[in-house]
Amino acid sequence: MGDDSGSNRSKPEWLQQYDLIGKIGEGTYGLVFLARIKSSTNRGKSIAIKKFKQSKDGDGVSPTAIREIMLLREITHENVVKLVNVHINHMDMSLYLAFDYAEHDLFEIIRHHRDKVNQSINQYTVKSLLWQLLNGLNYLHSNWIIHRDLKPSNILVMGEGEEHGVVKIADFGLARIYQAPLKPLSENGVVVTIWYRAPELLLGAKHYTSAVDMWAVGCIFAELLTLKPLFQGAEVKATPNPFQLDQLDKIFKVLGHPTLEKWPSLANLPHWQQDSQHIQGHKYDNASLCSVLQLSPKSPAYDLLSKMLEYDPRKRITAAQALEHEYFKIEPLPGRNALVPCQPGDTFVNYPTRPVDTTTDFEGTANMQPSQPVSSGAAVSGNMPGGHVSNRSVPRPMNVGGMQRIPHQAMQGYNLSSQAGMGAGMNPGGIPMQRGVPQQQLRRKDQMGMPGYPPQQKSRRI
Amino acid sequence: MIYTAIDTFYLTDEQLANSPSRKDGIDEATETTLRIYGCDLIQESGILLRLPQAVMATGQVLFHRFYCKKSFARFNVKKVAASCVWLASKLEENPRKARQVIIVFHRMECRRESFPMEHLDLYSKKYVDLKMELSRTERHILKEMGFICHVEHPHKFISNYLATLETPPELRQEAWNLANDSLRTTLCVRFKSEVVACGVVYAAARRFQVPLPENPPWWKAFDGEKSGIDEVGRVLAHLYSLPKAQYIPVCKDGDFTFSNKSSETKSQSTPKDVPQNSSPADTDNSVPKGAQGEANTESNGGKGAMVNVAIDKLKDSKRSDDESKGMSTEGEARDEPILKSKADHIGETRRNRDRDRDRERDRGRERDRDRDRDRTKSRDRDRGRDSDKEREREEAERDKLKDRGHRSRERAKDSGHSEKSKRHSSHDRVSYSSREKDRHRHH
Repeated sequence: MGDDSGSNRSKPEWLQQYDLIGKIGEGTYGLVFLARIKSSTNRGKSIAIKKFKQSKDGDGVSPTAIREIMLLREITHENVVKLVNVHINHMDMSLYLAFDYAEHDLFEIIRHHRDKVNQSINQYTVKSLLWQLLNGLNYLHSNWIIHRDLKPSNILVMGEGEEHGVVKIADFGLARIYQAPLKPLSENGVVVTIWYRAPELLLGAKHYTSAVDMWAVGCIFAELLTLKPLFQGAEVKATPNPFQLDQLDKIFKVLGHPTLEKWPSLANLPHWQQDSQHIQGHKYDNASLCSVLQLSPKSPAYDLLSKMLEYDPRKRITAAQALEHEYFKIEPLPGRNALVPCQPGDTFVNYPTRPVDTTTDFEGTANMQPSQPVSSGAAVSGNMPGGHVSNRSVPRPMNVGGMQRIPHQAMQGYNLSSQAGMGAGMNPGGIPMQRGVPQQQLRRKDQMGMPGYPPQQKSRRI
Repeated sequence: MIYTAIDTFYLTDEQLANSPSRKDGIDEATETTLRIYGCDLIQESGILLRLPQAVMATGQVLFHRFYCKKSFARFNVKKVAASCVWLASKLEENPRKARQVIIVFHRMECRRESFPMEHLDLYSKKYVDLKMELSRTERHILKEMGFICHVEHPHKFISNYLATLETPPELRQEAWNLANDSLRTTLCVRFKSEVVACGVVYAAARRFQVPLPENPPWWKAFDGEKSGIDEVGRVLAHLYSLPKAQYIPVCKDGDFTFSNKSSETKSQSTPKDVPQNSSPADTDNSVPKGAQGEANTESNGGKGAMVNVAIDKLKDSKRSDDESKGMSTEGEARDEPILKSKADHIGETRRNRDRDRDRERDRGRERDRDRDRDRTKSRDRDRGRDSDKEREREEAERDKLKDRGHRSRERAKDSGHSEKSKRHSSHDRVSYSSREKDRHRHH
């Protein structure tokens, strides 16, 4: 289908190296397409092409696209999505980002378990997904990068192939380097999709840190355990006001009301003072995280999660500390292939691949009645700073593609990133990766002064 | 299309000497002048767009990086400067609209090159073409940078270095000014920010005769190298010895303007989308009317009369330069001879500013008044002590000698063109200035 439609149109030169398969997602920035590489060295390798439309008032390349590319071009890690290539279409001034394609994301995995399997995700998979997510996040934070939009649909998982079951953090449209920002991060407006937004953000913090990412990881961890979002508040979008009463209400119902005793800097947050009558008007007597999770308060999983959901961002656990938590040292140990359990008793789940809309051509127009659009893992942030899309809560019709793909051991001929440390990162499937040992050599500036992973020494800034 | 990853962007002296512009036949002095001119445009446009200084700093570094990869003969300096400040405003999270950038560059061009100060019609084909050119050039810059546009500036190191060295407070402003001026040079693509920071700290200390520790050497603690620090000082001293940078048309595809002055003779066809030659075809040149023949057809040898005319114009130029020297220059210029083979040829920023201020005051418009205030503050900060006056006189003498030596090496073609351009520019300015006054009165 892709080939037929392709041959009917004159394609840009750069596009001729791909076989277009179809549309796999869309967002405020544009569309995401699935393609395969034609060249002999990487024949059949799947690529996700993310298109950035030019804004209607013709202001050139969008700052979001530039920022995402700049960051992705400088980072290399097994648990971070790989930007394979960048294409500029001179005809309509569109910008196309080519990524290694990941067939799954946590949103789809959770939904599959909730709606189809009707059974919770096995412990090995949850632990492996979480470990790899923290591993990638520790790399980002060690390089002074805050992601600021962590949520299940942005956590990709690779399908069948060399990297089967490997987690990839995606969508860096809202990410920032916070080593020495020229302006406070809060000037970027509202960040993080609301269900995963940290309380300091909801209360209008002027200064925030990578701890906002750890709160989001905690929400994702809980969602992996319970198969439903932990704090599912309704967002009021009428004003750019960071204060969201319903979201805070959902948090307080589970964790209880924050107190100055436990969170001393709470008094400095703008909306703690301004909206205190709204906040303190409710009572939260029966708050209990363990009852929502149905975990024993003594279990290591509960301990880790409660540390991630610590109100005070200065006390919240860091990615480096989390990787060393007791939860990851007890059986089953996390592995590189998160989808294939190494315990014989665990159930093997065959996750469906993402539906592909083959009726939409590359310019985004539909040749036939299009099926309902679905988002890929990379489909989130828009062109506007602070713009974001709320997480989907409506079930979508499942369209399972029956296509089978044979994995290829092929050279990464199109890899723009350095291969340094790539070999060292390879780990046979099922064997737990060494914890605390850096997976990749850092490529960023020496001035960072933080080689490898700083296990215990890194201090968070306020 | 595979982009080469660029981890760091630093070039050797040899690479700079064999720049793409040099391969296109543009000599070192012309490239230096155009680099300074482009940075002047970025700085002035940033002020008009009310951008923070960090945006202009980033824009100037991107500008220098781009012309280490591409030639001035194939990418017009005005287009690249406009796109660099536009791109920098996005990178530094102070985005400006393309419309704003185009209006500002159009206005600056009319003033600098004495075109009639016309209104830019936002619905004209000219404007649409300008917008397209801005976007196209932006994409070229991003492509050449491999989308890695992180810039680190020496400014962020200066305060820490000075605090550690426990120097007098007046050194801070001096070092800061020197760091701003260094952006007009290629220091940013030759040395790491720490080295440039050490260089400006050293130059400021020498200016104020503040001793710095030599044993152990103070620069060792700041990742500096003595040779690099000395080179920074030499480059800055040379920058202050050069005359104001003027626009020089060198594009192979003809000249480019933001204004409509040249559009009358432009062909009606849409320019081709050629990645390497983004300038539209243009039969007009930027030499004002009345010029005898085109600059690029001027012969190098020429008759004796032409040579004499050039020499006379050189004298006029020197005289005007002497009159405009009101600024102090670096003290170390006396201590160390300038090695022109190493130093970059760059213009004097402050002298340009002074002249611009005088011109703007004549017009007496409100925005000019605001700009004057900014420049007045800058001038106040730069004001030296009374003892500097004697030094200024000595340096003026030295500058005369350098000017003579420098200009004698220039080709007759460039000299003639420059002189004629200057003269006619002055004449046009007077006549258009009165017209501007009439327009202002009508408003």
